[in-house]
Amino acid sequence: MDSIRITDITQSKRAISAIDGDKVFDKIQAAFEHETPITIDFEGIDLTITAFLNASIGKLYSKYSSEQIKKFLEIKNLPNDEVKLLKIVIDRAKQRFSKEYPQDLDSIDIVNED
Amino acid sequence: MIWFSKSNRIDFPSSLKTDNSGFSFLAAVLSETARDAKFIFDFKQVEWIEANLCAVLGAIIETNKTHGASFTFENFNNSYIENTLRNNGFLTYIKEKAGKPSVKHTGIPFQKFDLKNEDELEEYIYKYVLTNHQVPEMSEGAQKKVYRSIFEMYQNSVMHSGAQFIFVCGQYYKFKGRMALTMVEIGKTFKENVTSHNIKYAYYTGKQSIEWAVESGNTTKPASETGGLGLDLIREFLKINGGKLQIRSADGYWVEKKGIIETVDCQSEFQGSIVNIEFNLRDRNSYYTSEDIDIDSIF
Repeated sequence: MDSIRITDITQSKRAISAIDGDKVFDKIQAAFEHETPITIDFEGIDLTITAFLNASIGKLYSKYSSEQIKKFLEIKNLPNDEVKLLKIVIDRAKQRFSKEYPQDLDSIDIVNED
Repeated sequence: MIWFSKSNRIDFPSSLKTDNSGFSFLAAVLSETARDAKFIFDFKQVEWIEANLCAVLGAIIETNKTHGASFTFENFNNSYIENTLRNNGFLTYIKEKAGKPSVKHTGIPFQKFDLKNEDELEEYIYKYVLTNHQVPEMSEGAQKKVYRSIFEMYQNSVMHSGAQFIFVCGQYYKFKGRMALTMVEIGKTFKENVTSHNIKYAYYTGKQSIEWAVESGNTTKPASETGGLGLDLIREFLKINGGKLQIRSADGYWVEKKGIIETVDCQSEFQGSIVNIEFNLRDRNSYYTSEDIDIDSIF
């Protein structure tokens, strides 16, 4: 099992950069290509934003199914408030990359959970 | 409404505020001073300037220096103006000799950041925004939402402006219990991004482009990427917080305050984007999430 500590990438208590999100995405993707499970550890992170979560995790849905992601990806130590934000990001990604989603339509209504 | 004389002396208005009129004046200054000439910014009529607008002034100066323009500020007749600009560091930026800021000032310093160096902005925000003595009444949850809003907005600039720099300046309004933070880049406008994204939007005005961009789920990112949530979350928070969001980009102006939106088709173009976020610092809402979400259920 591979493992990534987010603080090793962000060098900060905050995960607020899309560029850092891309780095996390590349590592997850490399593990997925080898069908190796991977753990993303958010220990020490107290703030995330959608730009980071889109780039690191949301984008996975453009290449992999929910089943694959569920099977190979484990997320640890993400504070509850940030889990809520990640859920919004994942719901949006699922909509955007679903087969039913009209590719020429960029405007859709999202029902936020909160 | 022209403030420019043949001598390249620009008379600043008596009151320069963070509103459509203030932004339109500054948009005209940006376009009129984009040439190789010496300009004088004359403050003799100025009685009031909102200090966060120094972010726009700094962006104008830095951008148009590259076209050969140079700038002199004259006639700070009013000590309030001089103190305001000294306290946020802008006076040091425009004059070689300027006194030190007062100890208890309420400015958030004017600063220019390279959009490639994201750590510097993070450090600046945590150093100057929401320090304890400024927000005694604000809940921790609200403070977190403020930080998140600022970083989401900044990342929008990183991803969409194509600019090299962003200019930031802020101001606390102690009696109103509010803080304004203005971020400016001179680069691709909302209009350029939206109209080139899809042929359906090719004839959108600046105003329509901003309206499109702030809608939940809308993004100009490539089809392989996801986005369109950051601005929506900022708006959602500001509605509860009682804050305000203003955007001036190209020929569009958009503002939302307490959930009420106003838009304007402007007569002038601003070749970039100005975003101003105003937060209510007396926000006691906890924003606490009691519901536990099982992380395995969200995939």
